[in-house]
Amino acid sequence: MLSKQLVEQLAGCEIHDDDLELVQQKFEELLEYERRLLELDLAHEEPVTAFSRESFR
Amino acid sequence: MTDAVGPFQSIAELARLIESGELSPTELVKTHLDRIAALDRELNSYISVFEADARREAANATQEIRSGNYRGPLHGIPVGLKDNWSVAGHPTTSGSTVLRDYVPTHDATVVERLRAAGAIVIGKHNMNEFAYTGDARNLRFGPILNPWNPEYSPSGTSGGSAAAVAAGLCGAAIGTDGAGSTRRPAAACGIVGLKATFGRVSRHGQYPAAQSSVDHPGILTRTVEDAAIVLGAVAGQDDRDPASAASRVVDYRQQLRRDPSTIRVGIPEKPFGPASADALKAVDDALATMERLGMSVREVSLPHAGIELTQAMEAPILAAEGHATRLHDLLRQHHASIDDLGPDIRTFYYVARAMPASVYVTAQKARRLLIRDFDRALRAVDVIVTPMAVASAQTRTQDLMGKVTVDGADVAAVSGGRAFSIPYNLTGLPALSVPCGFTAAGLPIGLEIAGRPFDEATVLAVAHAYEQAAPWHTANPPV
Repeated sequence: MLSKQLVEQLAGCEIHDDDLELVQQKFEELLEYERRLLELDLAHEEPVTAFSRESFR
Repeated sequence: MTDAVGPFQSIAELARLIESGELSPTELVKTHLDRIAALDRELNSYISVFEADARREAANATQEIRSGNYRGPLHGIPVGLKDNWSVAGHPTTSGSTVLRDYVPTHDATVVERLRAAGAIVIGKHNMNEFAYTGDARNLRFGPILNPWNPEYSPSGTSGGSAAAVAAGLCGAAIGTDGAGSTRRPAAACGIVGLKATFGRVSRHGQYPAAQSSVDHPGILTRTVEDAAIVLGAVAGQDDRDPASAASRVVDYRQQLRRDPSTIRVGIPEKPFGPASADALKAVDDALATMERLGMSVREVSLPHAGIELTQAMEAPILAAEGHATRLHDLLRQHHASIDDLGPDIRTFYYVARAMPASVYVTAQKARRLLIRDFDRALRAVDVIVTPMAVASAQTRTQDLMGKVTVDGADVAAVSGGRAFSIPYNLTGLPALSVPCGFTAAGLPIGLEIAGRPFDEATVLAVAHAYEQAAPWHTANPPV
């Protein structure tokens, strides 16, 4: 579980108590997305480089 | 002014009247400004209207045309911009309190090019904060209403632009599309929405700067021919956008007419996600129309295009490339605090800052599989056709709650609402929404047509052939 202290350290600002639950939920969603994608065979895939036009087409 | 001028006429129709002298830009701009004054207090599609500038530019255009210097089909046409495009000397809010004092000193490239073609920038459109959530609500400027039914949302971050074009409050608009935010509102408002290939249209002057590899400019018009006209004006290489491509720009309007028997249409073997019965029926009817026109239709395999995978790719990419650093920079540049952001945006910021790098890299690796799927499929067919949205417009209450309903069942807005749009943000392929029918409740439904990289001409030609055979675009909202 992502702690309030760690989020504040990474974000560089205080987190509202009201926001924490949703932040934790969204963070778990991202980890779940990665687990889902890691079930694919990605061993030989090169990551798309965000700003390279050529890598993307 | 000719009696034939109405608020829902296409750019192509208005251009014929302007070129022949039957209509002047001065008269046309006045018609639009009067209509905005009468209707937009309720519709709320504009954040700012450039009344004085638009009248002055229209007078100049009228004079220029009378002097024999007609520039082409956009000369004297009023266009609007989503409020994340820079116009020199006018505030650009991007729908956020953070940018309350921001006034750019330069025009975005798309604005420069529209002006060079003679278009008149009439104002800037309402949007949700920084275009970060998939709806059309805004805490600072208020909700945008769908002109087909005020209880419904225009359903996407370019919702103000879509509502304004649909309601006849401008001739065309430029929006943005990071996960379908031009195409889905176009579908919900019964107009045409085009996202060209990544790199085809410059993002220079979008503010906050488009730094994500899924962000695209978008074009919103009433007809496919109008989309071809606007794309022809704004497309092309721009050294000020590092993502801009050198690919050749053709005359899209001239290439609208093709022999339909040469067109091969692909439909996914497995749907990208859930879709309402209304949407599926409308797409089936559209495919039958395409076959009657002589196009061939066949299934194609796209094994990694389902929403369960594309959402897992897209969310981390947006978080890492967009939310994590861009918001941080904005808060610093504009001396703002985290409390100036709306609650949704604060959440994006915190989550993006905390996300492990491996999540992003895994998403970018999986994206390769998706790009390969589409590359393979588009060797066998010329275009791929699907519903544009899982369902038609959602009510504004659903929008506020972040819900999308498909035939009475709630589908999470983030995962379900964008199933048909996200694949083309991840692959960068050109994709367009064209009206293809109405729900039982009288709300428009969109058909999505996507094609090969930089082959907007074929996408537009297929959409134009369909639109001429099934003229849903001629229905107008009750405003």
